[in-house]
Amino acid sequence: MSKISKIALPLLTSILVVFSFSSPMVKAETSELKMNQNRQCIMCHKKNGNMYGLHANDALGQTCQDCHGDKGKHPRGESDLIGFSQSSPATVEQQTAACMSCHDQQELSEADWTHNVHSNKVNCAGCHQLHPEVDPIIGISESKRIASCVSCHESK
Amino acid sequence: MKKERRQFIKGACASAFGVACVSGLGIAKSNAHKDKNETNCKYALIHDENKCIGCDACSVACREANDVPDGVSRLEIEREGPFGEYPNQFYRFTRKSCQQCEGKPCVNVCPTGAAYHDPSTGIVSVDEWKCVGCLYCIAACPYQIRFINPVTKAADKCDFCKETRLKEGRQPACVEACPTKALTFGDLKDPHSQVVEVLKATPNYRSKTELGTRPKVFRIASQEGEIKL
Repeated sequence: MSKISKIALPLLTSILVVFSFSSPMVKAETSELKMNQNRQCIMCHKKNGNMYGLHANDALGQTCQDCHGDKGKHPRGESDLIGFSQSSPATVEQQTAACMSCHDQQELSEADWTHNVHSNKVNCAGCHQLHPEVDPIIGISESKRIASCVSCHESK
Repeated sequence: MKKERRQFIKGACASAFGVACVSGLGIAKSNAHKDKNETNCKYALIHDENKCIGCDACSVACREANDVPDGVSRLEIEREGPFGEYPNQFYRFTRKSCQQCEGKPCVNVCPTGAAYHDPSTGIVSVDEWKCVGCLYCIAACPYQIRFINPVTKAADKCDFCKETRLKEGRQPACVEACPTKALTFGDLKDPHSQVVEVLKATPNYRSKTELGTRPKVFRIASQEGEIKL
């Protein structure tokens, strides 16, 4: 029940948000999301910073810093900011820890067994993308799923 | 009179024994001759459970190559786990498919000869048109891998892609699809084949050999989580 409400509530509110601003441009509406009005980040990261996914929903009330860490003296000085990708200087454990601060390991394990074996080896962004409106891994076809396994596991 | 009778019986016994010996030898000889002529190769498969990552590429490739309808499958990878403590967990994968037994319990019970052992390849297959769907083979298979194909209504199972890939001179679909090269396929009778080389070099096991099935699917056991001394 809690799992359903966790997903359904933000989803419903996002639908409401979309319908309340009845303009034809969807992208324009998503930029109305509170998260994308975070001037501290979006002032510079206009191109690569906008967030349209489930996590951006106003109902969740998240900010960029919740996942990416404290701004600190970024961009001039030191900061605890982390990026989520294979090429990020942050370690896999650091990246995974940011997601695991909300997500429960047991729930992830039930959702897909592969979470268990990749937890400290592959960063979450290796498979998931949170910035696009829909995470491309959701509802992925079997052949595409296998292709993503093969992209790392292939032996020559 | 008595002596003659005894001698006659002795003589009869000796001659009967002689005939039996000669004919027995003859049968043995003809059997050996038969084997030599008919069996050119014996295909076998090795599933390395250490290399397997459980991605299901093999079972998907099998379904495509052999037109296996949804709801049934010739090949499945069974997942067991997780073992160990988070975040150092692991799974074990076992291949569930026809074991290509030399003991061939399915062939022995088939009343119509639909299930047969191909002597030139050692592969156990099904002649669809001969199968009457009596389910005897399904009951007899100790590995429970046989099923009734909902399209052909005949018993169906893995035949190492005999009719699809082997005919084209290719490896079985699962072997070609495996990204980690966990599957090795080849001829057991060829001493230089990769299968023989792997089997000689690596400890392996087969499932339910105690039933006298003599399967030709070999497994290299998963090492993770095992007791190490």
